[in-house]
Amino acid sequence: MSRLREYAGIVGEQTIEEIETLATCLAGKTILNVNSTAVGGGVAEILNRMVPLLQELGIQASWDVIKGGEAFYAVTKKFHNALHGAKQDITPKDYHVYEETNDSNLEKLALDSDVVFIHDPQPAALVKKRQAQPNRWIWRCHIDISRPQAEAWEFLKPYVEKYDAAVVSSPAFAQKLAIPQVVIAPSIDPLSDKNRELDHSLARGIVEKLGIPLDKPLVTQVSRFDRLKDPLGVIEAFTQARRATDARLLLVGGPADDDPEGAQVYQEVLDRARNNPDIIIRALPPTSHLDINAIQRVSTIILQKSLREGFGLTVAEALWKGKPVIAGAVGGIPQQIIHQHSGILVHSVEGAAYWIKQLLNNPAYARKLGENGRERVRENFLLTRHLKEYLLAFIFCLRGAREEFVRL
Amino acid sequence: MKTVTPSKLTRAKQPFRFFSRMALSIATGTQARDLPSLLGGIRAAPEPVIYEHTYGFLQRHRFLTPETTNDFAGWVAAVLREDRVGERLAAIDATRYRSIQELRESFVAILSRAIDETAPPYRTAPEGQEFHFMSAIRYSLPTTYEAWDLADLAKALGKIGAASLYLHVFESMLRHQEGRSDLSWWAEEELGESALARAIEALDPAGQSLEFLRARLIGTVDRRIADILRV
Repeated sequence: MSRLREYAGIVGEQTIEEIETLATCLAGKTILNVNSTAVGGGVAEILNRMVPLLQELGIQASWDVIKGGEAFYAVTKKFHNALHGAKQDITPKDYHVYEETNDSNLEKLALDSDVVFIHDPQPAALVKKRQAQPNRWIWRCHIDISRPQAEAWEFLKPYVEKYDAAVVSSPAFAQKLAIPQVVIAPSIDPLSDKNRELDHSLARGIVEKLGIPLDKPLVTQVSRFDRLKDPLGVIEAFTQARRATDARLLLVGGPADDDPEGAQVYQEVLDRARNNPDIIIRALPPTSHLDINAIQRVSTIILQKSLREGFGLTVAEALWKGKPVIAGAVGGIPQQIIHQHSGILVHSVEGAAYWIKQLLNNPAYARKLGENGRERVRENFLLTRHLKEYLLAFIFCLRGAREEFVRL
Repeated sequence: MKTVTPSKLTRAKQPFRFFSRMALSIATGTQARDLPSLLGGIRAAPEPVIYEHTYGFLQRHRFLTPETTNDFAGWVAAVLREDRVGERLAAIDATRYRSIQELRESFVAILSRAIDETAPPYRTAPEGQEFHFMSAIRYSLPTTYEAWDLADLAKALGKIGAASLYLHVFESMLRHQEGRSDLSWWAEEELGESALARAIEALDPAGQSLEFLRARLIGTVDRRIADILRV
């Protein structure tokens, strides 16, 4: 596991010093993280890295996972989808299962840390125990709740308002709430296998082993085979651009075995690409972090032509590798890309086609976008910024969440 | 860093102590979808909201040289496609104002004029591209850097974080009278360096990255040191 000082070469000594100074304000404080899974998913991935860094800084950080049965996870999956805006049929029994599981976890968890940091909706109802606690509670919402199904949100909202503050990933995800909503964007880890520096010849070797030829500029989209990532739109945009310029398109994503619609989309993509030798489709295992890193690094342009998106961290991954990115102006993507400065935002297939041609024909401009994009990620979307803002959020809550200006 | 003769450089009675600026963004839950709702939001916003979308914007984009200088201008031009209004808003240089209230009034004046000149219906942001009003909690954090003379200053300017540079050169103008910043005030009052103070005040963050401005500022201080040592 990477230690904080190892990031100094990437973000600068000053940033590390700032984090260390901030942490002195929290020395000896206890911070308990609670979520619903120890492995798999972005939240566990972040906590796996964040908790050791907090401990290294002298903060007594810990992490507990609530326990629930299959019925509980079926219900929280429904909540998850409903909060994302998908219509779900949530029954009174579902609410009962949710309450009952949170109640049974309340008996097992010691929720007396200085800060109790609850992640996502699954354990949100644990806050009912806070009446007896003088400590601070923060709810971290990792999902897009900008257009939730009203019924699910109305159930969750009274719990959320019992917290001292909520943390959301984007201003667009904020709701009208009686508590402060801190905006903290997610991050990528520049030292992880998916993002660490790779020698160019090593990267080329990895990609060639995957059977991907590198004889032409590679235009790549890395994403699940999901309609909301618009893979068919990507093929259409590439086909339009290909009439005027020579390149290959690579669509690479995870397997779709556990998602019937995903399997269908994957098949449609294969069918659409069948007669075009310049379109390559690859499904890789979810652990292929180094392969994805190599693919992004050898690509000439990265696409993320999503129609809807949560935050879209694949964009930050590509920008970090200095690549020009063409992406849909949806979800958290406009936070990462300033159009024509740190990447290109598009709204249509035709727009994507136009910019693929433009960037292939103007490598100097494409390179400048990539350089700006990398600096934007360095400043805003790396793990160290995330850590710094979590420290500020803890300080904010521990001081009573009232001040507008704080001299530390 | 060049070696200097300390005796030729004026030593301050009080050192310049560098602080760093950090901010935690807070969502207000208030949105704008068109020019009238943007105007209403700006009029009603507490000062930290205006700060976040102007000073906060410049700090967030410190490595880039964006065409615009504040969030309002960017949204009006890119989302509402009101190019002329966006251009006028982008021309507002937040660092030249003595108070957030004066700054707010400039935005209000431009938007009011634009609304008066435009017959409804007003252009509306597509769903998902509304303007979200944000606030900020600002934190001031001590650093280990300080300067007693110009040589210390040049050295520290090369090492402090960009947030510290931004705080002492631009944001601090809000706290001082007559458009002075922390750094220009110290250069003049403690070292008697009036010309250097004016050069610091003339720096403009619009259209230039903070790293470019840092290099320029260090160059100015180095040249002044060279002049003193030649005498």
